[in-house]
Amino acid sequence: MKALVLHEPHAPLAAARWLERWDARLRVLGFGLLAFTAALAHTIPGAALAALVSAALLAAGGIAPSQAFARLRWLLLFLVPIALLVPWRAGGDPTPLFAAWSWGPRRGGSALALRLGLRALGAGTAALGALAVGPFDRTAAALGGLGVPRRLVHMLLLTYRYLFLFRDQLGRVRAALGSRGFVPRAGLHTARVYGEVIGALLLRAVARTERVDQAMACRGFDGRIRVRRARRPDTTDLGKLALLLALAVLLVLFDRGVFA
Amino acid sequence: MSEPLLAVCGLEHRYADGTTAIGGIDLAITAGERVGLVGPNGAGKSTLLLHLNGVLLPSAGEVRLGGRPIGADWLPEVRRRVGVVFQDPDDMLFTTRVEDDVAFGPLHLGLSEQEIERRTERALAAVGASALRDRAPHRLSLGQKRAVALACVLAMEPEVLALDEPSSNLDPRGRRALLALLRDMPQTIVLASHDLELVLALCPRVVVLDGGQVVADGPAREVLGDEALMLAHGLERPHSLTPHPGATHRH
Repeated sequence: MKALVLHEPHAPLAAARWLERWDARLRVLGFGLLAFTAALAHTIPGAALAALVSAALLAAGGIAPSQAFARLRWLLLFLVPIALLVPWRAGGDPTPLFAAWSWGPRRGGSALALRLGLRALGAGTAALGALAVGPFDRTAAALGGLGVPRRLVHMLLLTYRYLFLFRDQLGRVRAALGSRGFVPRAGLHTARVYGEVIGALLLRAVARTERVDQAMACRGFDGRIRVRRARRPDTTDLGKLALLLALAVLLVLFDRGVFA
Repeated sequence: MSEPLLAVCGLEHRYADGTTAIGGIDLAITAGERVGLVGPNGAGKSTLLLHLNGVLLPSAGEVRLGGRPIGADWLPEVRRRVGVVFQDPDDMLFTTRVEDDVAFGPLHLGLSEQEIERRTERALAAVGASALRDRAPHRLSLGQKRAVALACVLAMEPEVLALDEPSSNLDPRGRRALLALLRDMPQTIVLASHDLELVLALCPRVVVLDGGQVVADGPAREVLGDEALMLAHGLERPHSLTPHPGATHRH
């Protein structure tokens, strides 16, 4: 039986000191703002510049392109259908992209696909700076500090941790199925077996949730995530945020054609 | 006679579906005592442990800690004083670094950073897991996870350690290490286990639970050595208490 490989949640990205030591709340805020700026770009040059600025900031933050690419590969995969289908879209400029290929992709559709792709890439790259630098629990606490509902933050934190357990359990169940002669095939039987397996795992997850809740309560958890070595943002932290804010404003102005 | 550290008085616990898990238990545990809780599956051992630090509250009766009934009004203090180590360490380890898991309790006690650091270091050293400090909990072996789960509770510096099946699934070396570790613990220990040899090695006193009731309470060798009692309640006399006529080995 083929071994099941689920991708593990990643270790934090190794980043330069200036990025790693930046107050997590301000980092999430600054890069989050940049992500929104990229995602909301109206023009192709605006979206391209936002993506470039995000990539340049990550590079300046010591994050290797290969690391960033590895994290963004699912996003890139998601963009493939956009790149393949949207250029054929009828809306916008209906002129064929290639004069000799009248039934081929349209200019309007191609421009839209490019803009969507650049926006997603820029937003994803900036989101890496917001969420993938530093330990995840610190980032989660930062989200809590920025007003993200506590329940959602807990869900994120525990999901991150328990993906591993779910993977282990799924691996064990698959091994047990294999040991009893089960061979997955395309068909109703296989679908039914997998449905039951997933149902059983979810039921186990409910029982575990209760135990985890009790174990946390045993150690004084009262619903508020506390973080060690929390410190007040200093002027350097605020300066970094100001720089990103300024960049975001410049990007918006560029996108709106103010510098044209 | 002085007030016991933990007093379980007429404790009853019913689950939401009406199932009675504990049906009226009386038990007194003095400071420094080591008590083994044994019994078949479903006897109420784990449920009883969760009552000792107020994770579960009684349907009837009460549990007293230091003479004061455990209730919602002072749970943080109760949980600081009574530490529960769960059967499955994965229920206790939920952060991404061992150090953060161990520091979780002290952090939620509102201690200073220096004190958190001191307790984390000390607890990890106590279980021989200092080298695991920066490791991800999900990458540890079961024995290592158990050690870290124990450190998580020790970091809260409790007076009472309530351990639920601490030796289950451990290999013999891990079990020996656990035994050596628990032997040196100064805390009052309540140990729920099917590992009767471990109970015998650690606890001078044993309480047998069955069907949510205490069916025996006395010196470990006497209770565990009573074969009829053990068999009647789904247990077995530990091998080391089994007479060996013409023995080729002794215990």
